[in-house]
Order: sequence, then structure tokens, then C-alpha cells
Amino acid sequence: MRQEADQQDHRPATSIAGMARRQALLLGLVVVVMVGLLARTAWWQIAQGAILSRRAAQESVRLLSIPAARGSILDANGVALAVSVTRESVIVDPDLLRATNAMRPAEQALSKALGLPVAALASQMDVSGAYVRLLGADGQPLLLTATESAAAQAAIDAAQAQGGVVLAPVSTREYPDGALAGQTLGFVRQSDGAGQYGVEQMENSALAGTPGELYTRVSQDGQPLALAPLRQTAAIPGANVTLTLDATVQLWAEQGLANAVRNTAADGGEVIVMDPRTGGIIAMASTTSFDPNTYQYASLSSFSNPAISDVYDPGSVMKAVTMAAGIQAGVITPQTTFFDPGYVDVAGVRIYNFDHNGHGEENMTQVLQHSANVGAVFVAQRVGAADFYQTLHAFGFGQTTGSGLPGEVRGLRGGGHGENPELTLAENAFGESIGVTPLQLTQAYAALANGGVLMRPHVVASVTTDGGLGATTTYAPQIAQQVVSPQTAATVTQMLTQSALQSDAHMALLPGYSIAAKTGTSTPYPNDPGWTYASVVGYAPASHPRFVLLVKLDHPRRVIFGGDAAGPLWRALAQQLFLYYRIPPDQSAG
Amino acid sequence: MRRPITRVPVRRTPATRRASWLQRDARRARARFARQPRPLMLLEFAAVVGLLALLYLSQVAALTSTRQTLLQEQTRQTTLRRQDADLHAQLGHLQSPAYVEQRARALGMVPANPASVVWITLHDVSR
Repeated sequence: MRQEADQQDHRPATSIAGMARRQALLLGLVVVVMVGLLARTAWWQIAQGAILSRRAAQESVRLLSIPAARGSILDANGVALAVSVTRESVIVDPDLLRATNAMRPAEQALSKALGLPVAALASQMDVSGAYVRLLGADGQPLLLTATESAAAQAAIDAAQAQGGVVLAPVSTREYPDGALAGQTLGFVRQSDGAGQYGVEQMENSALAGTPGELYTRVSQDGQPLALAPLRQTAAIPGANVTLTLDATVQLWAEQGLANAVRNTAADGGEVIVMDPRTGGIIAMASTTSFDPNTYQYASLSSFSNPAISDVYDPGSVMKAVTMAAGIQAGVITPQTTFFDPGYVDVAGVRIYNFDHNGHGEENMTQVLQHSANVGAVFVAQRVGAADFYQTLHAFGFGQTTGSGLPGEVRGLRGGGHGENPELTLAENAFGESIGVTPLQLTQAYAALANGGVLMRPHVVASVTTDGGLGATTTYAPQIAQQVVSPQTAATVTQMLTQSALQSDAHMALLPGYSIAAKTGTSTPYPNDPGWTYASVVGYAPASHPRFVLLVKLDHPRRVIFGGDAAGPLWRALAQQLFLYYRIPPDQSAG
Repeated sequence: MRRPITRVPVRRTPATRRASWLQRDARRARARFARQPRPLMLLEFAAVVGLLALLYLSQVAALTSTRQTLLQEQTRQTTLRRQDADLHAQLGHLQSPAYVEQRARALGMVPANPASVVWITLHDVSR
């Protein structure tokens, strides 16, 4: 009995000890597991923390670029010549539409919204594949305006085809005036939005603006999460660039040039209108221009502007510069006379007047009036090669004008070198064997019109930042240099005015207005004298010039001389400019 | 040579009495706190944590709402900029000299003959 009692007392003691051991074991196990977990957590959190954070950030955090709106290009009166707009192209996923049985409703809804026949849409959409960009009736990709997009989106929603039809925004550059001043404006390359040629290239950095940045977490499909922008920099819209170009004058120049080329059966030509007081280019037209809206279909050669990148032998229009050199050097006056037999022998080569006629005793104004090559050679020889070429250089020949337009060339200045410098000097005196750009010649005449002060030609008048809402930087006219004295410029102007009044060539005269102008007919191909560059350059009113106008035709066939071929257009444009700028006559008519 | 420390009887002043009362109050407060039931203490703690969490959440909610508004405004700004650009493009087309000429011809107008223009010069005209 007592032994049983002892056993009963002893059992609980053993059981408690066992329980204690098991508890200790369990506790130890838990502690080991906890320590293990803690160590593992510490490994991931501390040792690997930075790497894991980086990986996570790479997967969920993106730096997105916010495109900046490109600035507009405006003409001198604020008319938009180039604007950037956002359009929506319509992207269709035919496979998805078929899988969701939404093809027919989508076709009908889009047909109604886009104004396209159902059959036309079906032929584009009913194909296998997951990506179709819908084309319009003209075969070009559809680009919807904001209003059209809203209608299309409503139609897509109504057809329950949200997944299968998507409106994708596309930034496009539009030129409301089409081909007007295409070469001066240039275009914007669709692939990267970079300005190419013309003002688009020249002012690309100002027009492009500064893209913004959005550093944010993105959803699984890459869309930025609205609530998680970590850092955001707003895009700064590009600047608006205002030109000196006047769209109205540009249109007249282009229309007039097209008519003149057609009427004279010429190969092409250029027209430049410039303000001689500032050097601002008012119009610059060429027959080889293109429409920047559809630059993809234009030829590569049409992108370069021949008014600044092509050189030609200017012919007799250069005689005004030769006279300026002579008067400035003090070797001639308008009254200086010489005997003109109709030809002159230079370095063994006989040079003739253009009509092979001799004019006998004639003064310098009559040299211009008869456009006598012999007289121009007489002046150049009296000036001497050194002074003559120094004057040409001062007038801007043989160097770019500084207009800043891309593609401008320096031209080819004779310089009295080569195999026969004496002959070169003589030929350069009347504008042969020398290569100038139409803009260089216009600039030189502008210097004569502007009291001998050569202005730097330019097309950009001002730049206004932030899409036209910010600060405006106005570009003041820049003086290149004083080429000849004001007296010399005035004398040459008087000679040009008088010679134009009594010109042998059919100079374009306008009753009541004093006009200082010169015709030019260069024959760069000796074997084909009928293959000419016909031009007229001049400024008006001569008493206080408001514009310099150059008209040049390449290889006119019906009439080959400057006065006959280019004169009518010069007169027509000058008449329009007098009215447009409200310039009253400065002389009594008749 | 250091002096031996001698105990001096402290005389009870009002200041020493106040100190002894304060010590007694502290002892009683500790005793009360020890006697307080534990669940109540936890509730108080939870309430404080909850309040802090509420404050934090309200801040987050306000921030979220502001960001949402900002996003909406930015979207609106983008839409307005787009409409502005569209209108500029339309205006550019309508102001284009070629379009104006076309419209003028459609209305029966013909270009003026510059040769037929008569200039009238007014002298001494005052407004």
C-alpha cells in the first residue's frame, strides 16, 4: 500500500520532467527556426537589400520622356506657316475583334464615325494579324483631329471594341499654306522630329523646346501610375519663330514666277524681295520648291534652295557693282567718256558687246544704258584687279551672306587668278566667269539702295519662347559693313535710274516711280549663246528705296534677254508692292 | 587629514515636509498604476496608435486626392493645348493668302489693275 503510494507520487514527477524536456526541445527548435528566419531576413534585407531594391525599381520605376510641343513658324504678319498638331491614327487588332465577335459592329461604327464606306474598312480590317493602321480614302494613314477623335472614340465604345480598336496619338507638322515658301521653311522629319533644311533646321533648337521627364512607377503594362510620380519635370514648349517673310508677297512671287517660266518656256527661276534698310527677306521663291506636308514624295534636289545654294553667271547686272568700284576708287565719274568700237581685245581674246554694236563716244551712264561690255571692261581695267576684287569682296561676293540658312554657298569669285587673270578681270566686269547666288546679288544691290551700307540678309525677325507665351527676342538688323560711301551709292543709284529710263533693253518702267534697276543676260555656254540666264535686279523708289527685287529666269527659250524675259514679272511685282506697301509715286507721271 | 563625518540631526522645515509629501504621492500613483487592469492599458495604447494611423491615412488620402486632381488638370491642359494647336492650324489655313484669294475670286472679286490706281495726295489735312 505504501509502495503504491510512492509510485503514484513518483509518476507525476517523471512526467513533469519529461514535459519540461519536451518543452525545452520545442523552445530550442522554435528558437533555432526563428534565428534561422531572422538570419535569412537579415541576409535579404541587409546584405541583398540594395540589389533587390535596384531590381524592383528597374521593373516598376521608369523614366518617361514627356515630348515638348514644337513651336510655330509665323510670317511677318503673324500668319501661321508651320504648326505642330496632335492627330490620332486608328490602329485595329483584327484577331482580337474576331475573337470577341466585334468585327462587324466595329466596321459599321467606324464607317459612320470616319465617313468611309463599310466595304473600304472591311477590306483593311478583315485580314489576319494583330496590327492594322487604317488608311483614308486617299490611301494615306488616317489622322484624326480632336473632334474626329472624340466621335471615333464614342463609336468604338458603342461597338464595345475598345481592345480591338485603339486611337494612337501622333504628333504631326502641318504647313497650312502647302508649298508656299517650302524651301525657306524646310520640313520636320517624321522619324525623329528633327528639323531639316530651311528655318526648321536653322531654328531647330528653339522650335523643338525641352522635353519633360516623368520618373514614376508604372503598372504591369508599362502605364505610369497616377499616384506614384517620384519626380516630374514639365516639358517646355518650343519657341514660336516669326519670320521677315510676308506670305502675301511670297504668294505673288511664286505665282508670278510660275507664270513667267511658263510664258518664256524657261527651265526655272528665282525671285527675291528684300528690305534694303534691314536686310530682311520678304519673299524668296523658286520653281523647284516642294510641299513640306508631303516631303516624303519630293525629290531630294528640291530640298535645297537655289536662291542661296546655286550659283550662276549674273551677266550685266554686275555692271552696277563695277561702276561702284570705279566711282569709289575715283577713276571714273558718270560723265567719264571713252570710245566704244563694240569690242575690246584682252589678252589675245576679243570681247564684244552683247549686240556686237559699237556705241562710239559714250559716258558711264550710257555704258549702263547700252549695257556695253566694252565699257565695263574699261572701268575694271582702270580700277585694277586688286581694288576691283576688294570691292567685290566688300559687296559680299565669294562668301556666304550670313543669313544662317542651311545650304548657303560662297559662290565663285574670279579673283584675277587662273590661267588668264587679265581676261578673267575683264569678264568679271560684266558678270561672266564669276559665280554668284541670287541672294548675294540682291544683297549687293541692297547695299547700293541703303547708302552703301551692306546689311546682313536674314529671315528670322523674332523668337518668342514657350510657344509664343514667353519672352520675345527680336533680332535687330545687322550691318555687315560700309561697302562704298553714301555719295558713291547715290551716284550709282542716279546712273541706274537714268539708264533704266533710256534703256536699250525693254526695262520695266512704272510711271511716276523712280526705279534703279539693271537687266542682265549671261551666256555661260559660248557654244550656245541662246542658252541664257535672264535677270532684272533693282530697287524702288530710287529716292527712298523700300524694296530690292530680283527676278531671274533660267534658260528662257521664247525670249532670251533679261529685260524681255524677266522684265514683265519685275514690273508686275513692283506694281503690286507699291500698292501693298502704300508707296505713292515719287515723280510726276509722264 | 580628513575630518570624521559627524551626523547632525535634521530639522524638519516646510520644504523638507513638501518633499516628503511628493514622494508619498509618487508612491501612491505607482501603486494605482500597478493596480490598474491590463486590458485598459492596451486599449489606450491601441487608441493612440489608431489615432496616429488615422492621421497618417488622412494625409495620404489628401495627397492622393491632390495628385489625382493635378493629373486631371494636366490632362485638361494637354487637351486644351491640342485644341489650341488645332485652331491655330485652322486659322493658318483660313489666313493663307492662297485661300483668301480663292475665296475672293469665288465672291466675284478680281485683282485690281495697279495701273488704274489713282493716288490722291492730300496736303495740310488735320484729324
